[in-house]
Amino acid sequence: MVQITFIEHNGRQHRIDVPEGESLMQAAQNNMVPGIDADCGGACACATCHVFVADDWIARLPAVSDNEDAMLDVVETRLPGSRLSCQLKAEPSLDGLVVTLPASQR
Amino acid sequence: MTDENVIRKMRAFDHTSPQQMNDPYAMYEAFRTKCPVGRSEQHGGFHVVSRYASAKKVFEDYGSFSSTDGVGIPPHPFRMFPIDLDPPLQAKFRRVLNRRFTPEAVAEKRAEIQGVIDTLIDDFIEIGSADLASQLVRPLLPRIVLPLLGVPSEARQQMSDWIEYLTRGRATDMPGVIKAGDAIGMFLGGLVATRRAAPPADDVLGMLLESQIDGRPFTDDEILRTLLIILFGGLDTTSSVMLESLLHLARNPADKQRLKSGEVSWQIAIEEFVRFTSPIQGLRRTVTQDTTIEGETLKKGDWVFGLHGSANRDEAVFENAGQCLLERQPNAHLAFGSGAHICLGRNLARLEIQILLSTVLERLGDFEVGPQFTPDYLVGEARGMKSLPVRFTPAHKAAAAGFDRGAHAAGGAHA
Repeated sequence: MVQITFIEHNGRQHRIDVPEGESLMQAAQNNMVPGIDADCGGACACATCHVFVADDWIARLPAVSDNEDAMLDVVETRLPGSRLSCQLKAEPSLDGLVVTLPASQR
Repeated sequence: MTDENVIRKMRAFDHTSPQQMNDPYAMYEAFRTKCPVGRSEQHGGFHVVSRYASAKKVFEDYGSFSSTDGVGIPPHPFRMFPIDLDPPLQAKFRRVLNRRFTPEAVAEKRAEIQGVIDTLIDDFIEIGSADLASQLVRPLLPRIVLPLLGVPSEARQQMSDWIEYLTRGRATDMPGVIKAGDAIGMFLGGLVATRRAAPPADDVLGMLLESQIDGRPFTDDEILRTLLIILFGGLDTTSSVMLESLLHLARNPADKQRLKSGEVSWQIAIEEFVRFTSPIQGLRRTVTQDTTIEGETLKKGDWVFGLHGSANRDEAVFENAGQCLLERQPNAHLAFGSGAHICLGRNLARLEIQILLSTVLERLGDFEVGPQFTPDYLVGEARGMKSLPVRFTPAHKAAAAGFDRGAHAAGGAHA
């Protein structure tokens, strides 16, 4: 299990043990974390599972693909820590990761 | 069916053929088992993808299967947005549109929808018989969707006729379709111009006029093409599910009771009605690079027709797929599509279907179809029942019957 913390825009925290290989988007949906809409179901095609990773984690995550990069241009507020949670798979190196959710995905 | 027969059927496959599509499910099953990626020689030739997993891939992998060359067979003579776009541009349209179609946003329409349904039922409730297609379901949708878009309701009939022609006429009368397309384009173009000069209004058109894409306002042309796809998507498809559900309930009174008593929740039952109906039977993508599915090679530029209607009957995913089992769960059907283009109006459709069915159960709950009735379908990418004649015990109009719609009633809280 990989521990991931989701922080809603209102500050509410959800600490979740995510099975290895599952995407952070799936984990958020399975655990009823509000604010991850994920309309396209994980096809990296809708940009509604946007999260902000904490600054000290940015360089420790797998690189942003061209596809994800293009989709991140669609989101309302893109920051250096912006990622699509459907593209982040839980693996041991992500244990302890903290992500914050934007005000709205819609 | 022998393998050779299946290949022959596949070569002749044509979703615009009433003979093939009035009841396509045995044909789909043969395709899935014997020829999961086949090639039809109709309409210039296209690959047909019938299994759940492969159809899902076609709809989700927009890098290999593009929408920018259109999604209809035969093609629509004009492009619509965002359906004929790929991400990321497509997603920019959806970001703006999605806000009007969230569960919370569409819930605000509940009273209005209830009011329209009660009024239509009032027109025949005292008689004890009706064609639920022409007297309830088909008149209902334009009365909800047009005001939501910002299209004046006086244009209702004209609009429905144009859309019907554009949907059904492409296989038989392309010049007529182009003419209807020009007419609807002129009408909507005029509407956009009028609304630009008018005070802002709280509808989809009003929102598009005030929103931005890539840091600039939407153009008139973009708005027109967006309104058009919502008209296409919002009328026929929802009516198909409503009619199929009503037929199922007429033939299965025990299921009426299970819904009325709450034994099966509406939320779960509606997903099954939607899966079972699959109002959009299939849509096209165009191959962007040579690729392989189910061992078949697809060449760049080829057309691929993913069959939602077949995917939703795939026994690999849905046990007893040919039966409408209200309690079915999980139910990851593809009827609303999958991936970037997942149906924009799905939450509105679910709400409309629930209010329609619960009101029919409440007001003409003993409705039944004659034993001789066999449904006849309009076909194409979209498939829907032509008529649904029913009989029921006559009753009073809503006001006289004293239905308490409370704060939800049209004329209630909003009077």
